Amino acid sequence: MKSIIFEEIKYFIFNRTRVAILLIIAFSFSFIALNITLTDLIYAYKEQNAAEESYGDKTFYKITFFGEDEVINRLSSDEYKENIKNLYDSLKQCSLFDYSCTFADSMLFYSADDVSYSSDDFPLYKKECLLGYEEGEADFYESENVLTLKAIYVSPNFENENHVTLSTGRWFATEDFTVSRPDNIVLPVLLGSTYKDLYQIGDEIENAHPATSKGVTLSVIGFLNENSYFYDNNNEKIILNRYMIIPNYDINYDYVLSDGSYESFFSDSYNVFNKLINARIICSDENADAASKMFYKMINENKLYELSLIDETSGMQQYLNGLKDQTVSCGIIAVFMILLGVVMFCFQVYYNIRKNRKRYGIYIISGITLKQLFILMIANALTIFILSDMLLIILYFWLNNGMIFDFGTNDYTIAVLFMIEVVLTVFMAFFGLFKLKKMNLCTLLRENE
Amino acid sequence: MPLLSLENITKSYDKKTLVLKKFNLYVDSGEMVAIMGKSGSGKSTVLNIISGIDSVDDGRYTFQGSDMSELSGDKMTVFRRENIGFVLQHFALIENNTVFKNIALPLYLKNEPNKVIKKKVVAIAKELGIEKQLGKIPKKLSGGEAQRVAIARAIINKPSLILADEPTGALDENTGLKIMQIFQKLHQQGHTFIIVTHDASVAAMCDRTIKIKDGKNI
Repeated sequence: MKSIIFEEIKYFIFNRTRVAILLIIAFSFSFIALNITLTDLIYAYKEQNAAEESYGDKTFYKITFFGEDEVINRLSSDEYKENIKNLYDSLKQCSLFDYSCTFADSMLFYSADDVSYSSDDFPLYKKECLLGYEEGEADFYESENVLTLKAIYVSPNFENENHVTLSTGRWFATEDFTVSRPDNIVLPVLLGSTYKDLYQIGDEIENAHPATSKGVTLSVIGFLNENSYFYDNNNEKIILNRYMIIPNYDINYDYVLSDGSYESFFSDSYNVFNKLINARIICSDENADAASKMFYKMINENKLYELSLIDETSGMQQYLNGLKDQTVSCGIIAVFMILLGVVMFCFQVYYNIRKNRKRYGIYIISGITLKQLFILMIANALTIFILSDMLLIILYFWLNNGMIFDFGTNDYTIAVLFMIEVVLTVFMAFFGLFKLKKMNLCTLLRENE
Repeated sequence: MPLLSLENITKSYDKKTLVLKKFNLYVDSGEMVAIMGKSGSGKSTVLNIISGIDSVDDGRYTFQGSDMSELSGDKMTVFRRENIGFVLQHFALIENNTVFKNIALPLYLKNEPNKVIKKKVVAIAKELGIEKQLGKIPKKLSGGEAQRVAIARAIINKPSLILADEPTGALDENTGLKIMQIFQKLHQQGHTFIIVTHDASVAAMCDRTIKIKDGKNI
């Protein structure tokens, strides 16, 4: 039977080679289109879920700025520190909206005062807690005397996040968000589940630099359950297992030094990025316009004219609508191309059967069973799909290596493509069988005569 | 008990064209029977019914005592593969396959091991004098050689019955005679033949002749 199957495939491919090649190309490209559709669909679904989880029924604004490096340098200078602090305080106190500034960043460990500080003095950690671990860049963040671990800086409303739960310890208290003295600063820290076997509640971690030049001590107050996650201010889902979580603190000590300059911890902490840029303003839909107007009033009062608001929720809605439109368009193209491929295949099968009716007649008088005929038809369809898949794989690596185009292939799309191919293979095999059965064998044999 | 019997067989196409009208045929095992008649008299239809390619509208067809109307689908196919060998006027060989593969076709369909297939094909090719042609394709064969290949394919499964539809129709007189001599040799070895022919000389070489006219026995 193997020999007959091989012959069948040979006839099918080489009788009309050009049509077979066109078929292979048509299916390859339709699978690419289908893959893109599925990838977009999965992405749109995830984004939709993330948006629903992240925004709920509230309106979210994000603070951003106009301009480039020159604007940032200016806003980061001491000249604007008071303005930033005033705006920050105003935002937190406004009753029209909630202010939230939660962002993923890093936590450096080093000692500016102790030149002998080395890796032996690093706190306990696991490799996966290093910044850049998932991207394969962890080594860059683990030098001889500086260690960079993943950290999240959170607002007081962090404990209200739906998917963040404590396994042991306590949440941050209100006073944890305030630093009351410039020296011997101790900040509370919640640790992700990866740290669980390294620390205990009450342990202290020295020489931490939460985006400041002055070192602080972190005091462990609790651990999160495994796979706790939340969406940060960039709407990125962050699984907290490998993170240190510290409060995005305020300062209430006298930060102006006798020479009129600012105390260094205050100066570092009230960075425009730590307090304003990417921070969120969250309000009910009814208050959205009023909140926006209030924000612009505040920035005018504080002369921070470069700052502005982005409407995240309607922006996301527009983005999702665009993504859905793209998915539908791509899906229509994919379905059209697949239909075209199937129709072309059916024509090829019909032509093949018509041209080789004598051969099929001989098979039948020689006693080929229906199952064996079905296997022959399956073999044709399967060959086309295997060759299409091979072309698809070649295109995938070629385009991906050249960074020309990424299909976004993943396990889901591969599984769906495989299932579609199975269904089409069976359909196309049945078509061949149907056409063969429609031919009158008696007529066939008479034609042979 | 006859090898096969057709009793009062009626067959029509498209419910209009009546091809066989109460046709009767009894063939014993080891017989060589000729069916003679004009074109359109229903000879080929008789062969199609015997081989199970075509069904009957009315009447009874039994093979080795079994009612063939009870067989359908793959059971009928297996019956055909195991019991019937076909030899057709224009040889019905697969053009792109070698002689070896053409002869071996029924064995491939039975999924027999390659070693067994090779042994059987070589043996039968030797018996029919075509062992040197095994690697050739049918286009390179003479008419007589091609028909011998068709005979080899028909008998490779050792069927109970060989159906030959105008086996000498496409051959010259001498070659036709040689083919009939092969049939007679096989007949002497115990094979049963039903041969449809126009040729009286072919019919004369058979044990008996059944004449058919307008679908009826005469």
